Amino acid sequence: MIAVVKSIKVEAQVRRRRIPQRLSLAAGVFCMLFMALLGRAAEISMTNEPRETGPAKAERVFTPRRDIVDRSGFVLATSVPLASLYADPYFILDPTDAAHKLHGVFPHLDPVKLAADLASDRRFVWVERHLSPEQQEQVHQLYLPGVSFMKEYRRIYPQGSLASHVLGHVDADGNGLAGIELSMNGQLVDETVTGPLALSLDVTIQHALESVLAQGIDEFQAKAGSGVVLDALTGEVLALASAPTYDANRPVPGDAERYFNRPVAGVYELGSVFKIFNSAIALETKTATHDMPVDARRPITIGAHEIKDFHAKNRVLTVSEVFKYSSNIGSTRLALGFGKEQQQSFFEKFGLMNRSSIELREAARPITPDRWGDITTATLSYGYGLSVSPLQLAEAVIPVVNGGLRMEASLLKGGRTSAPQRVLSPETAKQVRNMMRQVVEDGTGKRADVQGIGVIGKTGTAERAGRQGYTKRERISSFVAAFPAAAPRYVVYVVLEAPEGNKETHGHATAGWVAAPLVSRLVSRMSPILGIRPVFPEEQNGGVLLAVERVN
Amino acid sequence: MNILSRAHDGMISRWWWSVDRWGLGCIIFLMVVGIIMGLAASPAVAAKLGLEQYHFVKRQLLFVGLSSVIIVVCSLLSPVGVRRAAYALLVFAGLALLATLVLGVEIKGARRWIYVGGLSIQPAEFLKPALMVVTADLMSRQEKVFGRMDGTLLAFLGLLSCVGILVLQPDIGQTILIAAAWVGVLFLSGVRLVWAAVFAPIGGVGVVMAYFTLPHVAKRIDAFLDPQRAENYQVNKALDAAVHGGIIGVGPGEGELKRTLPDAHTDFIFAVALEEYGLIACTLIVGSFAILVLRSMARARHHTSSFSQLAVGGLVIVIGLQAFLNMAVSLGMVPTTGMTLPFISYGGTSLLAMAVSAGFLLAMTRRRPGMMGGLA
Repeated sequence: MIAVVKSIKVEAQVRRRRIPQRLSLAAGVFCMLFMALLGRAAEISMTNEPRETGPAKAERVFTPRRDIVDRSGFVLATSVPLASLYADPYFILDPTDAAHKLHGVFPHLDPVKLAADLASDRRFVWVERHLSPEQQEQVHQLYLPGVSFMKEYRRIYPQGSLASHVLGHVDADGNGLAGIELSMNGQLVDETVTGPLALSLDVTIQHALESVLAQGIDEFQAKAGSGVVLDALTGEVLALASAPTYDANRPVPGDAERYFNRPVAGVYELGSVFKIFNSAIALETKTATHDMPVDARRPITIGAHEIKDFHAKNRVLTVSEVFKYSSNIGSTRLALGFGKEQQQSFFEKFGLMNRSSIELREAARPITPDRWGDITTATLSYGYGLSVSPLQLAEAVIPVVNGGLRMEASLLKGGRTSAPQRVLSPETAKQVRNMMRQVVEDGTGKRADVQGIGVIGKTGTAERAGRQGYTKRERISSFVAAFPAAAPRYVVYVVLEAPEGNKETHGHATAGWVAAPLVSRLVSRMSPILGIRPVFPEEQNGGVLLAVERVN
Repeated sequence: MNILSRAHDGMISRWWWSVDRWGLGCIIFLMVVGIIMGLAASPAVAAKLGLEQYHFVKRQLLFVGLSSVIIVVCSLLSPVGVRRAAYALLVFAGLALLATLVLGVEIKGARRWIYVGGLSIQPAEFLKPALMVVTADLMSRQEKVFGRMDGTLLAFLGLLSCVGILVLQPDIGQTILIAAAWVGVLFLSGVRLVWAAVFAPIGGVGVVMAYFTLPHVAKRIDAFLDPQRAENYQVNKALDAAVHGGIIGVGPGEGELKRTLPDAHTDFIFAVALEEYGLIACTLIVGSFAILVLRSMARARHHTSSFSQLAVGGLVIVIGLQAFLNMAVSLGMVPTTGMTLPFISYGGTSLLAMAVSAGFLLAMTRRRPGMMGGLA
């Protein structure tokens, strides 16, 4: 140490002169230190990916699932970023304490199981998904090492239960479980496609359909219901409803009834609405004309079965009247007239024998007859022996409405690109429409009409096959319609399952009493939305309207 | 007449025209940053501790006010005044430091604080500027002190006694900082650079000894070497925040870090700044420290008094090195040191002591007739 002091002392004068140079050296060193700080900070700041502190990277979702919108761009399903809480047990200092604290924030978590998870050898454990900002703040306040948040997208359906059966829902990891979310899953998670997925639905019409259906179910104490609105020119589905419905934002596990998409996944023997097809086949095959007389005086017996009329007229009817009064006897005679082969071939063309090509995995396969004898041909003429989905039935009515072209129904905006197939001649289609108009003007479907718009349609009251065969108590009452009557474009189908009559219907629960009024309400609500102008016949307005039209 | 006019021959105007206004500007800027960041970071911490929302902000404002007075008062001193003040401060701080061993309150396993009239004070913070100025004074003396002792040797003894107490506390971060700054002043004083070969192994041995004798030091170094460990929680969070902030930051008050770190308003304030204001804030803060350090060094070059030169050097090294170490911890470049970010971090002692350092520094770098060899 003495030597050190001596050498320092000897150098005193030299040292003095070195100070400025040493100050520059020190300044240089500090320069380097500060540059190093800036360099390191820049390196970190410019990292785009979050830092890797655990093996959780593969589980992270960085791009949101695409939105689903209706035909005018109204958002039906969207994804919002939320924090999800996970733990890396390697960092957890005291699993029991950590589990206890987390249990304080999430009371539904089992602290024992959580502690076991946090003590495990895994490097990634979900604690809770999709936290609210309040919960996130509470977890922050715990200052727990080893638990972190990751941004996850949660699927939100801003309209609640609206169109829930069409949209479907996703699981916690964002995989589609039902509806469009399932069938279009690949496209919805496709990062190369930007912008939302546009459906053919129109929320305003969807809302009208759902509220009218819910009202009808309530009014007639029905068990369930279905509703479909199609554009017969494009095949687009404007509305599709199943009741009871559910809110995918608040899943209720185990309530399968609500999640069931009745118009698509349910198949029913729909009854007399099939007379539309029966009449069309008879006219198209020229085995009948609309004014041809048909004997409906007494029931027909085929094998062990006796075919009777519900609204029995017990006289000779024209083909139009068979339709108007929904005569099973008359329909059977027409069917026996064109025969089994034509029936099968046309049912095939109407798309009643196969699964609907709608963009939903839930679409059910129809239950077709095992053996197709005369009795099958007879019962099929009035809608028994073949179970189809309500959507499928509405699809099959499209050719009658649009002048003979089969359009496959689609839930995507713009419909199908494939060329439509001709199923009926325009003449046949027109004659069937005239018969359908008569049903509403003067037949079983009077309650479906809307003044100034005009509705055409057909009732269908079917008895549901139960364990003890067909039962009168459990009915499927439905009404298929098209409007406006002058130039029909839109197909509406409303189905009520097990409706009960009430005071206003004098206890009746048949289609004309329960389903037809719902169609009327629906058409009243939809017409203004669809821009349909009411037209009143001359005798009601004293010829003024026509005069105005002429001036214009 | 304007009090700051060049023609005005008052104390204030003389001070204004002779002080390093760029350096002063940097210090003011950093203290303002400290208040802004405190507004963001400390309400979360206050909520956690059950204190009133702006508890820390109000105290910070109070201390910034006091600090400003201290800075101005200290910078009005002449070099002789600074020397006297430093010796006095060294005596008080040294005694207080000694007192921590007896009266100190144990926080997290170390006795670094004493309570004086309701205020908790960390004497080591005040020791730093005093020791640097005294060291500069001793090393710049050509005659023997007390007739027989060499100045450098005496400075070394001073360092040893201070470091000895700090190790007993224990406060390894301050020990390393003070020892490094002292060695820095020694080299500034012109000893041959080969002496580095002597001090480097001593420092190395010191760190290794600390590693094996002090468990918390071992823990921090282990955590630094293996960032995946739970002990590294705060640094990992700070790094996440820096990534989150990116280049322009997530915006005022939008950061998450302050809610997850108990020391967000003190040791990790830089990470809060990084998250909320991004690389831009980092550049401004680092830039301000760099301007302060480099300008002071440059001004000191032109002083004719070696005491002034060494004192400026010592003070600047302490401020600059502490700033570097704090920011480097937040960026995961060095093990956790438990040091505050000068002028910015919340903390009365830290701010007031830094104000003394800054005041001394500004006093020493003022232009004075006859003291600025090349420029006067």
